[in-house]
Amino acid sequence: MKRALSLIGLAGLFVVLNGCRNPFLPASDVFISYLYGPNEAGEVSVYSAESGGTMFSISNYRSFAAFVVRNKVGINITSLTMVYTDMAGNQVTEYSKSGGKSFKMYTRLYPVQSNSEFSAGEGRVTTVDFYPVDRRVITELATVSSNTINCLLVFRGEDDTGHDIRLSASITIKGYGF
Amino acid sequence: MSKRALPSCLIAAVLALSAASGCRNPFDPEADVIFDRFFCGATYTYVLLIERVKVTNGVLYGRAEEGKLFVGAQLLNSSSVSATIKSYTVVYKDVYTGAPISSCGGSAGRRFYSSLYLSGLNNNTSAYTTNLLQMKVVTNELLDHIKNNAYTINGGIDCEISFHGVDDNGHDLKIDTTLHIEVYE
Repeated sequence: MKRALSLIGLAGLFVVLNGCRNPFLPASDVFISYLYGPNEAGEVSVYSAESGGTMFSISNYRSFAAFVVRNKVGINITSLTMVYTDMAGNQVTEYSKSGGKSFKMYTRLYPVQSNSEFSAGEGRVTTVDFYPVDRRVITELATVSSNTINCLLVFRGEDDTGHDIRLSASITIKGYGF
Repeated sequence: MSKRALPSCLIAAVLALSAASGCRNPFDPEADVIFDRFFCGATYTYVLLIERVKVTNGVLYGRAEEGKLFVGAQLLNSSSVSATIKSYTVVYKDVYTGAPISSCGGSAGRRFYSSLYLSGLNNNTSAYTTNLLQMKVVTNELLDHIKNNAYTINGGIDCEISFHGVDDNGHDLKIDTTLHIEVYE
């Protein structure tokens, strides 16, 4: 009897040490598959000629993050934080005072609903728009060395079973003609 | 040596040999990613072509000509383990002088961020998955360097590129290659 209890205790300890997951409360299996800026590149280009006055158009800098959910647990993305750094990793722009630019959003990342969604890729894809460039970023692009800024994106949310979700990726913003 | 100790010694010897010869854990496979080729500019050439006169008069600093600075790197994954490319480093070198260009980061180069998921194989119909990382290797400072140095037409510029990422099993990924930029008048 004592031996059996010891074995059960040992097995339980191993399960805990290995990072046991409750099979009845699965977390969402999600990742960012691709970040892309406008005009055929995985980065964002800003041209000085179109960044001032009436030439400024936010749609030039519309970017996308493609999320892939690989299981049956959906997610609601509820906020996005963008942290801007120079090439040395120091925070830049006016947003550095507040640790980056944050705003609330609501985007549903749908779960996998059939096996056919795995035939073409890894799971179910949802793209989310974001706009990493604004006036303050352009002002910084003109002054920062190499006219290049890196933008760390942090998407936060919660999956349908209550787990917190935090997904991050970085994208480079390159200035031309400054 | 006793008969009882012999099997243990044999197992230990096999394990030592496996470790010494670079044993791979079959339960922890790595992504098998190689660089295939570049697709450059509007016509997807192997090398990037830059017309210097368009740099000096500022044409290439505008969005209308953006496609001419496009660089796509095609990466192949021959494993069922997926991976993600998260950044790439570029060291710009003058072919004429043979030295890294100091105004473009010198020998350390510049590191840029992007994100591309390299799918793993999920069936037997292909030997690898094909993935295109879309980049802008040409920066404002490189265009300025070409504008200010007419000798760049003598050989052009080499970009030593290292892709950095991680596979789905947590192994670091680093792939090195070189892109040539041909500068002409």
